[in-house]
Amino acid sequence: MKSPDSSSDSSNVKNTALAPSQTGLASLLSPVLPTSASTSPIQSATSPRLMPSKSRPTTALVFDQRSDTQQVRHQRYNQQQHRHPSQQDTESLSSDEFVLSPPSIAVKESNLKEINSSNQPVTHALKGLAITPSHMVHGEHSQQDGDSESGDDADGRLTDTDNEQGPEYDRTGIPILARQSQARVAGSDRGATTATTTALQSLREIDEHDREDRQSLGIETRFRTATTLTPDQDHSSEGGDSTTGSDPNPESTLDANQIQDKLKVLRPKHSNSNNRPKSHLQRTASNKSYDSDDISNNHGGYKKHSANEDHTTTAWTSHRKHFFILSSAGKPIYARYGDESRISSYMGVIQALISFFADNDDSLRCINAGQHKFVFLLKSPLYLVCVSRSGESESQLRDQLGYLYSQIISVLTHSQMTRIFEQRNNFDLRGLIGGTEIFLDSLGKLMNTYSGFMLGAIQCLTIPRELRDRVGVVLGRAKCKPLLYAILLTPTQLITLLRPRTHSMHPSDLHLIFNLLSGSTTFESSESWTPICLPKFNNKSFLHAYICYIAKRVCMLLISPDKDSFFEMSNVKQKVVRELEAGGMLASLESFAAAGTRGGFAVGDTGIPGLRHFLYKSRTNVQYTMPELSDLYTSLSSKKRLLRQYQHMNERMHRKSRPLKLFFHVGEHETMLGWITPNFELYAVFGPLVSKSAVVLMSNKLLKWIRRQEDNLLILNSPSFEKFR
Amino acid sequence: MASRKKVLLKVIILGESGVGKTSLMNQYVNKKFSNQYKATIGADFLTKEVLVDDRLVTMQIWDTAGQERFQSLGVAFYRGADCCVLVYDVNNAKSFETLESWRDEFLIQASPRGPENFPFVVIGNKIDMEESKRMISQKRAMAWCQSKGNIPYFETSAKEAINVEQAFQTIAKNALQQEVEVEIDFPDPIKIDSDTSKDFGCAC
Repeated sequence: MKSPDSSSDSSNVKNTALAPSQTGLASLLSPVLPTSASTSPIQSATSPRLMPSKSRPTTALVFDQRSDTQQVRHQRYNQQQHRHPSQQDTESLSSDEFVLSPPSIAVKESNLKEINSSNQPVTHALKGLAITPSHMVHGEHSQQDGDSESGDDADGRLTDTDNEQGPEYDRTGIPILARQSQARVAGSDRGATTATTTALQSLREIDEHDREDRQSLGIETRFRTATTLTPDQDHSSEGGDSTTGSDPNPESTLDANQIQDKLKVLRPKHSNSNNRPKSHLQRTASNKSYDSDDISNNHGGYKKHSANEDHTTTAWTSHRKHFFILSSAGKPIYARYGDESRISSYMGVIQALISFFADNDDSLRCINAGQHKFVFLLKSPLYLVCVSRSGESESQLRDQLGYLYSQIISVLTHSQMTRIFEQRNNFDLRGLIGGTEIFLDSLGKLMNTYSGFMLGAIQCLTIPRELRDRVGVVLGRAKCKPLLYAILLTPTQLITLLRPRTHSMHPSDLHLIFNLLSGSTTFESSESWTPICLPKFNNKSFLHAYICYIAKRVCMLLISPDKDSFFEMSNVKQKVVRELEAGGMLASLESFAAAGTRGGFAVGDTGIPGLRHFLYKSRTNVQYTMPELSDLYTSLSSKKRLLRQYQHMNERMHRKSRPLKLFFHVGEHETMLGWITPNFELYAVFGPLVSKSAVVLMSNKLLKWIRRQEDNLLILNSPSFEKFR
Repeated sequence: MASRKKVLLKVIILGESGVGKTSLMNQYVNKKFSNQYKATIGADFLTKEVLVDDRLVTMQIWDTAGQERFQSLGVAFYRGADCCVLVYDVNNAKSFETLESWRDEFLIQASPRGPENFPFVVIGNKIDMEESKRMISQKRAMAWCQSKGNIPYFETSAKEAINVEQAFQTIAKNALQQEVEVEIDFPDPIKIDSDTSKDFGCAC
């Protein structure tokens, strides 16, 4: 869970730090295009604030000051983009952004000392342009999606090709373990590692003796196989670097052999797996099936579709992403697939692995093994683990584990859970969260389809601002003392939210609320009153939520700290419904909510040819909007693929070690542009054959369209109750 | 609550190396026995469902390595156990004498609440060997168990499946007694006042 505050803060800092040199270089290098001065891309993309419109004359002046030499230098690119002079926008991008970006990257390079390429940005820029219609270049790699990061590899080399499902992915079977050293001196760290090594070496000797027996037992299971798979398949020659990008510290990786040994040490055995053929495991590893989303919205006697699966069934091993939640004693609490008690041996293995590192005051963060990532989130007294080959990054998976953790907290509160485990660390938590697994399941499903988790933002329902304001006024007038938040929402989108002036609502808390609504259909039929802990608001205590659908797909959620205020809330609802009906607002809300089921507006409404889809996040409002998915993305697999593409782009741009402001990606199926400024994040998807200059032109147009529509797409005027007093 | 979940019990098996911990477990779970000795490395995990007093419970059996050099799994490893099984070989006096230290080690590392009442079960294994080889008499073993707070004692043979089922039945039963309901109280309501103001950059 990202705190929107801190992320925007840090980027602010970065931008201001970079600003002077960048603007200097930019004004030197900006090509002379009719509008490029006022839309000077670097300047606007990196400046912390939107330029007010009155500053336009000044920038126009800059444009006039351009020297002729630069005109010559850049004349060959001028034909790439001709924009009408009237197309002046405060924040805009030009295709020359990509020409210009080397200077800005040069600043970064010198800062980060990551790339030791030439320090002649201009040459870079020129080289970069040689590959300009890069989809032509990349298009030839039919199996491979190429990323050209603006400026980063100006010489056209692909430095960062992450293939979703490419064959290179399992280039190594060597698992590398990223450990989080907790403020330890390097020396002692090394000491600890050596101790581990020797211990493990002695284990290995024993293991050699032992191997024959073990194979005859045939009890290898997936934990073990995941790490030994590739050597069997002879991919080891392809060399290995599967370190995660977010762990730049090479000291924190263990030798692969150590880990293999470590994993051998901890073998789960199963009573009924004795005759399991080894080849089966290889088969499942190449299985490309997508996660089956199998939530039945049947609350009473809820049974997971996958409840009969366990580690011995192909169905279980073929899931791309597993979540496991266990207590720090190693007792199972939740497994996304299968019966968690039947796979409790794995929980033992997980606990033992964590325990091994905990003994050295260390904590296990991630194991990379071929295609698989094992991501750990240690929130004592709970451990959360994700085993995934979905292609999502370590940090994205850890965020998802964080959401699962919040879901558990929302049922129990943090204080109650800690107290229980303080009393009895052998406590079987399943009894207490029993009945709410449906929400963990639906969260797992939602995180595979809903981009709000990745963006850390809330999706808003597209409705005319005037209607939203009027609805807000009605809600505001209904304020009574125990009412803390009044929220109108569809199961996936926010319509409006009224809050006390001093308490805004965190997006991750709102995600839990959305999950509550989409995870169960019981709320549709009646008025409900449920205790809920919103961890970001207060993880020690419960709030109480009144939930009632006032129209089809329009839900009213009233939150109160007082557990006895159900009837008051019910009255509030009646009052609000009466007023909404009287003003004819309820019917229009219902029709907008129905239209919003798929997105609220079509991508064609933007009037931009070639645009397939986009995500636009307002960082200041922590909200985002997107059009409905076009016919190209109707199948579950294509939807998921699109989300994975967005995730990949998002991860690449937010990577701590080298964050990017612009990202141009030419893939097999689509061309994508990512653009991050302190105010917004825009991810736009075009067809695979659209040129870079066209993408840039269209993205600028798109941004202008969004700016015009922003009032309707997002909630910009965040109403609070105090306004209506 | 949709359905009452089966209780899950964490059972840890401890004892000197070679006393037959893994064999006991294998006999109990898989009904199999192998004469060949292979050291357990680190730990093995097995799961078995059993019926105790008409209640279905899942036993999560943590078989540990007896050899000292594998005792590196860490303090947290024993945490939250519901029962601890101490195994020795009736034909090996040393394996009996070290039971005390295994027990102490467990109590220190697991630090259960109420260590004096924590359920242990002691198993004297390998009674299938000829009587002349026997080093520890039943009387002596039972006396020790008595002195440690009446620990239930079983003499078993993993090889011939003698008493194994009964021993584990007792283990499950005693472990289940550890599973007491904890008190669930609703936390205090949140007091909302403006000085606890929170601003997350406005989600709306």
